[in-house]
Amino acid sequence: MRMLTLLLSASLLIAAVAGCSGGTNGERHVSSPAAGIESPTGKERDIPAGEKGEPVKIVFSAYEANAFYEEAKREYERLHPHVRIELDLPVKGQSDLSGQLLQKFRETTNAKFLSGQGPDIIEMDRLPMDQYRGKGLLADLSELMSQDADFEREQYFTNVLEHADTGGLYIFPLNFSVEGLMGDEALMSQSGMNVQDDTWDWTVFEQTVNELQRLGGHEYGYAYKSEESLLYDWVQSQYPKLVDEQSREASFDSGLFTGMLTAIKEMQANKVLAANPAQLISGSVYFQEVHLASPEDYLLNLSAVPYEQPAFYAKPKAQEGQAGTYFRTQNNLGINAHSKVKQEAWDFLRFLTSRAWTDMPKLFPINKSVYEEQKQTLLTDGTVKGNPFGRYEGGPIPVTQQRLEELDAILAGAKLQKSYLSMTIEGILFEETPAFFTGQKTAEEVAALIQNKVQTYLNE
Amino acid sequence: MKFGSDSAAAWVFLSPSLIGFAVFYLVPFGMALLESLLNRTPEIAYAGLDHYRGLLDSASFRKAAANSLYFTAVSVPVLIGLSLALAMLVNGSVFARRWLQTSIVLPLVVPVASVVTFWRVMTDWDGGLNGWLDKEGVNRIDWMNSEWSMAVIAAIFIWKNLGYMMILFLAALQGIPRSYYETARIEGAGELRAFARITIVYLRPTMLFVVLISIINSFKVFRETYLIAGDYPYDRMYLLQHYMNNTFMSLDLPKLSAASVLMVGCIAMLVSGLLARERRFQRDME
Repeated sequence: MRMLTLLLSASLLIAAVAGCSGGTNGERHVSSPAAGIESPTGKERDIPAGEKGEPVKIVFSAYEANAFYEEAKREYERLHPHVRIELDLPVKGQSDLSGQLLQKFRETTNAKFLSGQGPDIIEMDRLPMDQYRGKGLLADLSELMSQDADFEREQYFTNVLEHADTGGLYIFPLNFSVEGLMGDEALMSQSGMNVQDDTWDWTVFEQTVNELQRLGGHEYGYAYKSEESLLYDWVQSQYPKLVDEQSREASFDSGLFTGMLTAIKEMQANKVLAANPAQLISGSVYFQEVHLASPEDYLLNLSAVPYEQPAFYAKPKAQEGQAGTYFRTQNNLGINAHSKVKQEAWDFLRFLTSRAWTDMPKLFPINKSVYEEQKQTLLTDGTVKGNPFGRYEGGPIPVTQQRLEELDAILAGAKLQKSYLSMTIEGILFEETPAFFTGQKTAEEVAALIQNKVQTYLNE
Repeated sequence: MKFGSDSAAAWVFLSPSLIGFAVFYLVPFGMALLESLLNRTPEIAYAGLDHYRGLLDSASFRKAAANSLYFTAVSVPVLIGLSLALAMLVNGSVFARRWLQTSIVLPLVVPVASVVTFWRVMTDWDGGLNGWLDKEGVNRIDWMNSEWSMAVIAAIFIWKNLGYMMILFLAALQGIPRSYYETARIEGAGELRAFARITIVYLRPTMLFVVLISIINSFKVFRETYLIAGDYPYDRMYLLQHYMNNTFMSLDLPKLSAASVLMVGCIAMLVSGLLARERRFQRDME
């Protein structure tokens, strides 16, 4: 019996030692008192060396190795010789069909954050934003912004920044794109209808299309990819009403969601919605969905639709009371709440937004001055090469000041964020909703199922 | 304790197994226990029983625990009853006995993943069973998304484990001396009386073992459920391991450890209760 107690106490001791050893932080980041330093001129700021003259190290992590991150790192290190930036970009152009690389990235990043060794700047695009925000792993950037004397809010698209996150700004997007509809303006003005695309919702949209169809013209109102993707679209725009992440409550069994399901069915029946691509190409649709990612995009899309006089309309809002254009951000950077070099990391983040890098994704930059430069380059070029399928049939499309001003107005109206759905909830939605759209289950049944599963997820 | 005696030799022979047990089970479990008392974010700090309280507060955990208990309480008796009946049948019959035994044990050796594909095809909303129901003009049933899901999983569980339990019972049945049955027949006892007074009594040790193994296997049924229904199955089939799997996926290690410690604690209580009853019974027998 004594031997047994000896053995037990020995193993418990081993357990205690093993359990406690995992807590120490392996890397040591030297912090430097960079706050309160006056910037001499322009946007760059001097970062002094660490207290012992050691270089300041910033760890930057993102899922994919974008070339412009490396370019920015070189440039920044050249301008600030005391700063060393370590890029942690695991995926370099490999395809990830099975999703395993992404899974591995998520798990390793989660583990690093939980053990306190997370990177200083992290690209949150592929990570569960709701969990990171909920666990307080990201720093509130609005604080850093207000403390930074050099940060000029007007230089940025503040309408996008203000609506990019809920309850404080925890991510800073580098780029964004805008969603809307291309519509047949000629028919619209012919009918004499006053289309209030800034505030219209889907009910008003339905009425408008019914009215237009009555007056003759196109057959269908709106072409879309599939019922599930349209539903997903609506859920994204109404996400805070369906899932309250603070109190971990879901309300999919409310009238809102079942209303969405039945509304889609109804609109299909009324020919307001068309899922057949044939209708799209033959032009018998009043409105088509477009994503605008750059000024060239805007001109290309205008030429690609088969209307004589196309115009951009904001998408119908998912619920009445909302106003503006929908946008979606990309390259959302967050700063680790426990980083010891927050100020330096914030400075590098600002540096990333300050100019157009060579290999940036083709999207609208968050920095207005960079956008203005893009427009200028286009104007001096004078033309954009057209799409072979559009009206210009591959020929050059002229760049006019008027069109660019239209685009300015569109971007200024970008106020509605498409929320990122939690990936679990997204999976549940896509799994359960097809049964309703093929007519096998009722809306209430599907809504109850989804509510059940989502609530289980939130309760964990 | 005297060294150089029998007990020393016994410990020497036991040590490899004990060390293995300690390294792979005892020590990790101790670490999990410690983990469940910590908070990892924002920094590593002692959290006391916070996680356990959180677990009992979590509606999902309570649901998972209730479902697991319900499943065990329903499927284990059915499994034992069926396997005992089968064992007695096979024991009595002489016709194709070996073939019968082999075919009933076969499900145990078939890999789970391949079996699951068949069950998925059968129970899917657009699957085999529903196709047959459609032809008969009956409304479709979403098998895995309704209360039927428990019946489906119970069916898979019983089908898989029937063979193993049957073999155990068969071996035990063959250990009961025939003379008892003959004596009973001579004394005029009916079939039922013979069954209750002889078979059950002499099967008790085996019965204990079978019950224990069945309970443990009923917790393992998570594998089949996960492969058929994924991370978030219908309410009825949301078991403890689903909860723990999902907590692992969201890398909430302290909560996961607390859940596993609770689960081990409950199983340990259950098993020790069973063993204590058995020991009392043995004492009464002697």
